[in-house]
Amino acid sequence: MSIVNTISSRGLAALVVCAAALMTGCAVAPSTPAAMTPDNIVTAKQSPKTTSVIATGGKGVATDAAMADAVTAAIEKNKTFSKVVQGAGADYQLTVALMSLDMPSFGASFTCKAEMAWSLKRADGTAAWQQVIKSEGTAGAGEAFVGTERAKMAIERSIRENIGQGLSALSKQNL
Amino acid sequence: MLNLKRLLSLAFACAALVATTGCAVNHATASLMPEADLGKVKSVYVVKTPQDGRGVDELIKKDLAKRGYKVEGGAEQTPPYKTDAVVTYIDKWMWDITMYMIELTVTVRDPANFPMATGNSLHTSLTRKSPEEMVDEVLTNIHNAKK
Repeated sequence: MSIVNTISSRGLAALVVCAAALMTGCAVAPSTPAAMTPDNIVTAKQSPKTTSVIATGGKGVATDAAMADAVTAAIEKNKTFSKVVQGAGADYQLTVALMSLDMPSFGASFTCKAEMAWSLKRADGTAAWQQVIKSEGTAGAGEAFVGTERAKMAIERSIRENIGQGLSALSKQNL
Repeated sequence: MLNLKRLLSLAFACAALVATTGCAVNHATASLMPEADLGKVKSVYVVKTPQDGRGVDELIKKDLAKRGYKVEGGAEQTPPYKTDAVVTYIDKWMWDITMYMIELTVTVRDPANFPMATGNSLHTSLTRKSPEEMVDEVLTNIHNAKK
């Protein structure tokens, strides 16, 4: 009888935990910039100019601020520009807009498709370069038990890949 | 004993749901690219998503026409498009007693296919909206979006 009670109480505890997870399942912490910063970028040219960075279109766990910080960190790490300037006074203004995140709602493994619009303007406001970058990121079934965590990983990886591709394309321009 | 079985079944089902579901909360957002000026747009080409078997492109065309735009539509073309703007979309559907549109993302692009604005609405089953309402909500949010 004590075994039945033990199983019963554990089942009830599991149910309570699961119900709590379901009810708060989307309350995952926002992504950190580090999770969206690519490690290595194929950089064709390192510009001696400076830039400011703006990120827009943040969705869900990917906030504008975290995306801007991730792009800034990637630029500083790879020396795509000599310096990232906060506010006015930079030679260029880089705008990165998250247009869409496409991911299934259910699944064992999640693959997120991200589309981001990259736009570089000179200080006088004229367009220097713009490109749409599409990328994918996948979180495997065994990487986290809770689906929302895997979804978050997939989003972060798709954005990280996008930032890598975007800065790589940007480094090919004559700035 | 029967209650224990039910409890364990429920716990298992709940765990399976937690383990396989992604994030889904109700939200509606829209954003404009800094240099975008949707006020200049008079004509729009709606690109039919190849996987769309539910006629969402027609709903978008109908809604845009209602807003006064000259609307065309069809398969994706090689840019530049001859209209002032191009509209693409991603529609996601879910089953809960009946199929319903859970999420719609609409992107408005310039003739060269570069994004100008985007809008997204997600409504889970309890707050589900009809596809027409989803389209209207997203397009209204894009129209009202601030840079």
